[in-house]
Amino acid sequence: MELSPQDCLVLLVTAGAEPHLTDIFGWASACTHAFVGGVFPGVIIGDQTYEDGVYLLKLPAESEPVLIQPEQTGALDQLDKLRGVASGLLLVDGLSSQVETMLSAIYNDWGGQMQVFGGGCGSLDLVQRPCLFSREGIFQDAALLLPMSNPSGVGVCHGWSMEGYPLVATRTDGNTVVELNWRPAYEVYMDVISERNGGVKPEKAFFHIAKEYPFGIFREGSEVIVRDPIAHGDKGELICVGDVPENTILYVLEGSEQQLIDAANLAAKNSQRPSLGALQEVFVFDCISRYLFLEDSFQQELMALAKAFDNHESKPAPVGVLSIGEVTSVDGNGLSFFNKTTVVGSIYA
Amino acid sequence: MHNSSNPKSSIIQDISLLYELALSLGQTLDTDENIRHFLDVLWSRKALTFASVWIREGSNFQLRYARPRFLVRKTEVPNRHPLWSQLLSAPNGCLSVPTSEAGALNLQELKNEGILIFYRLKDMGFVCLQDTKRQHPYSQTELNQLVKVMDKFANALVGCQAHESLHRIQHQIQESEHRFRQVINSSRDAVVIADSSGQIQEWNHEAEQLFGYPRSFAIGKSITWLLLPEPLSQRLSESPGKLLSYMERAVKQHRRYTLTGQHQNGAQFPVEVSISSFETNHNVLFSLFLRDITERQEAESSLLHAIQEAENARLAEQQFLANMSHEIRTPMNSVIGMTHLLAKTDLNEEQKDLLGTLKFSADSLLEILNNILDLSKIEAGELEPEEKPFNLNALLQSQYKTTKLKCHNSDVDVHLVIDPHIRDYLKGDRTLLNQVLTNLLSNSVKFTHKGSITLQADCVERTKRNHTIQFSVTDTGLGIPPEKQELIFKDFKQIEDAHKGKNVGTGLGLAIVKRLLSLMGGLIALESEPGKGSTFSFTLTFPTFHTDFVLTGEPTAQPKKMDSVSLKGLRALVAEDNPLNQKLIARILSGWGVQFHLAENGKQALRLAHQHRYDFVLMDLHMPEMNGVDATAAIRNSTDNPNQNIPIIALTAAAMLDEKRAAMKAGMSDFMTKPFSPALLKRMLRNWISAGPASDEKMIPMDANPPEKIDLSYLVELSGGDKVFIGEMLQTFLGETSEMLDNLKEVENGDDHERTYQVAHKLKSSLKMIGMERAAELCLQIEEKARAEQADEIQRSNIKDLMACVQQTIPALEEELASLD
Repeated sequence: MELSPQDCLVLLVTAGAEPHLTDIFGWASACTHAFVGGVFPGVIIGDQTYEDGVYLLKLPAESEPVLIQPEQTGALDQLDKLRGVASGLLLVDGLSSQVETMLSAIYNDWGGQMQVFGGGCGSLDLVQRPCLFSREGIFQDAALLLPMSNPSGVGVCHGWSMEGYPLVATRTDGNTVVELNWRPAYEVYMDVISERNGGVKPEKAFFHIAKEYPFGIFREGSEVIVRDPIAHGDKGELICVGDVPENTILYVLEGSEQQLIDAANLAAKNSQRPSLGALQEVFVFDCISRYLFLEDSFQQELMALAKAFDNHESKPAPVGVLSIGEVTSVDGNGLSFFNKTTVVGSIYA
Repeated sequence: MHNSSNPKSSIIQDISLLYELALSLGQTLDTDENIRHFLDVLWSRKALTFASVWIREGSNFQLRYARPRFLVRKTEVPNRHPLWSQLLSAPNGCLSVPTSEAGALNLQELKNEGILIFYRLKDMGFVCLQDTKRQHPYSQTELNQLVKVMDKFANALVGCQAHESLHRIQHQIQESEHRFRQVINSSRDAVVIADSSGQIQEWNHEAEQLFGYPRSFAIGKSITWLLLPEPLSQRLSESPGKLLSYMERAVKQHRRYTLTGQHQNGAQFPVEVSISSFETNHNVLFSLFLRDITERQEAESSLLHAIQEAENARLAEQQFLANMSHEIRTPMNSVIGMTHLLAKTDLNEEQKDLLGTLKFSADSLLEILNNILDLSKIEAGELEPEEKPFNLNALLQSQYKTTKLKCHNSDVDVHLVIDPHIRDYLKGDRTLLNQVLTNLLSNSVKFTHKGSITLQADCVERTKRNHTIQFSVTDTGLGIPPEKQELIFKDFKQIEDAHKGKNVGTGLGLAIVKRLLSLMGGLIALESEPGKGSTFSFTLTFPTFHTDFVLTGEPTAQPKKMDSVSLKGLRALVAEDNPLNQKLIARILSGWGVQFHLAENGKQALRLAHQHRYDFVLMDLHMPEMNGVDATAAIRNSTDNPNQNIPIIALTAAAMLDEKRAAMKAGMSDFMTKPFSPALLKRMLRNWISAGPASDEKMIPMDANPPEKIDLSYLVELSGGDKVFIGEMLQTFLGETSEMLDNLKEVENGDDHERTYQVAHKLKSSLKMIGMERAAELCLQIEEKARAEQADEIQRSNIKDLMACVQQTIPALEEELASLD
């Protein structure tokens, strides 16, 4: 790989390589180039996914990656210096309870100055561990933003649709939904699913049920924000990836394989901005839960995604990660943390 | 407001938004928290581009919260902004416009996309939103959906602000209480606050230390039981009003009290307390500031003791100096007198030489003594320059003559040069000036062995009011090297007389000159060259004494008036315990034709002053029973005393400034130091008395037999006019009169012929010396009778007459002595 002084190394560490994170960090630290990296359940290259190994790519960077931590407002001061930067690749600890806080702070102070896209790092066992790194160290409960001088376009789509009647999240605590409609959340959620299943409660394990029936947070005139319920607690609470605001309206979503595959294609199409010049790289953050939901069909999603770039002469092979949550800004309404969504960033020269 | 195609879902979504917005309020009582919760929900649920809340503060609306912050361009708009007037007239206080058409309403200069929506928050402010998803403004129906929740939002903010205001006040109260507690705890005094019943409300840390009770115990207890020992606490507790009135009185009187405090362990100690009061919630509270003054009292006691000791030491020193004056000077006078007498006898050369040495030593010793006494007086601040008329010419002439006399055996010429522009009579302190010149001239005499000494007085400036005169004493003596010129004005410093090979004198003479001149407002200057001589000079300014009267009579402050005033026929009260002084004053007053009553102490004087009317009082200060100061004060303070306002002249041997002040403070009119000159006393009395005799009341008749005149021509001849010597001789005689009278009393019946002869013989030579020829003749007659062993009536009568004669001589001698000064 040939590197120019402006290039930043991006290290995509798969779940299989996670045990060697410290060595990987040591290796990267020995390089003279800037680097940023994260642990993901899998890596996407073209229409293939990989769950082992470390994958390197280079991206044109404006400066060293910026570290953002919830308690360190100093990081936001650094962001202030980045005014005028065109794009930003954002890696965030997907299992942190502070994701919304960090995203809110970044957007509120620095806002839509640059086109940001990114996703959550972490492992599929959903146990929070240090999963982000740069020359400053290895972190959890943090975010790393790689500022890029190249312009980019972002497409975001999930393909899940609102069905049935809305529920009110009458009691939540961060990413835990304690009550729905004033009743234990798990109880209400399972009643909805039984209803949709012809009055029969599915026999499958909760994780496998939930991957088919995510929550959608309603936003007026905009795409609903998907929240994956990933576990339930002893008191009937549901634990999600990403915060659920209290008193918000939730829908139990449904999706078909085709809808999801089409959505990925749409996201890829929406990311394209021919007016920005020659397409240089396509970076994809595709939610691990889509991979788990689509299973063998996931490759079709990747192919559909790549197909969206057929009309480009360079026919760039999308690279990316299976992420724990995805990040971007939709309709100028702040940086949102999505689940079960495909975010495609098209980076132009 | 919604874009769902399903009407059922749509209404649910709308209601759920209202529900979510409503529930976002009131989670806390903090204004900013409520605004943030509300606006975050609104911004997120309606997927807005921008949302902000503006609250009225003074004459502006301030931006209280905005999301996202990076779009903020402005944080303040005036109350008179067109937006506000539009909102006031808008239906339900809300409006929506395309951003591109908003103009001044686009407060944050947001991108010209979508629409702007405004909601008025009652009178307190407004909400401003931007929705870039919409191209067309909200309809009134869409706007109305949020009107009620916006009202609720406004109410919530009013509630929060009220709460915050309350909280702020509570905080201020807490702060105030905290500060109050800090203040009273930082006080180095014990601070106790009690209500009007004496119940303790506050008790600071120092109070805990001072009385030994913790605050928790003390609060609510009675101050009397807690602070004060029996029986005071018992007394104050018997009547509840007693303590209150005590505290109120203490507040009014604004002073500190000293009480006895009691510690928890029973130990009692002096405590100083000051009390102030203040009102709170219509209750009067008393602040007691208490301080243990044990150490201070001890320190004060030590200080008083030290002051007393210092005062005793000062008095002892004064007494010592007074004693020295009398006890040493008197025998020294005898020694000097005897050397003069001895010198008149037949002496061989060796004896003459020895006698010369003896005289020199005695003179030196007396000079040393006088200098030490003078310096002590200056040091004690007891010399206060007077401003009285004096004859400068006479003073200078006298100095000249004295110096000439001292130099008559040496190769030194003495000159006196007086500027003819200088008037004879000036006002000033003759005694001090005389002493300065005496010291300077003595100094010159000491160190000049050849050449001349010149005393010169030049008029530097002469105005109607003042004479400024430069005095100089120039000699052709040893001279003083430059490096020692400063030194010689210091105490006990002197230069060596190479001629005599030793130091001469005490080294105090010039130091005294410097200090005396400083008292009179002058400075000594010295020009000197070793081997050639020295010039000491100083300049003094004297008020001119304008009167022709002085040329013919005695000077006085009110000459015209004085002229017409005669003392004859006046009535006086004389308070004097000393028999000799009584006689002296009696003689003087009789001579003036003044009738008088004599009192031997202050008490007697006071009684007489109540019974008779006088024209003036001569009051000695030191008398038994009641002193002169107290007697004077009693006369002055008694309105029924007929002599309340007459002149009272203090007569005292003590020339101490303190006494003079005390006498004046007591109401004395003037002050005359003994020994005094009758002429001066007369002038003083004339000054004070302008009216005729007080009444025709019969006074005690005086023995008008005039005493024999004394004649000092023998002494003048003997001493060559040396007043000092004459004075010393007179003092010696006076010092011996008491013994003389005792001796005469012893032989008054004449039986012991031998003893009678000895007494008369010894007395005869002394009387002859002062020119009392008639008394000396009496002595001779007594001698002869004794030798003939005749103890008849004549002998007894002669002895009695001689006693009377000696006694009558005393005042005359004292007057003479005074006139020599």
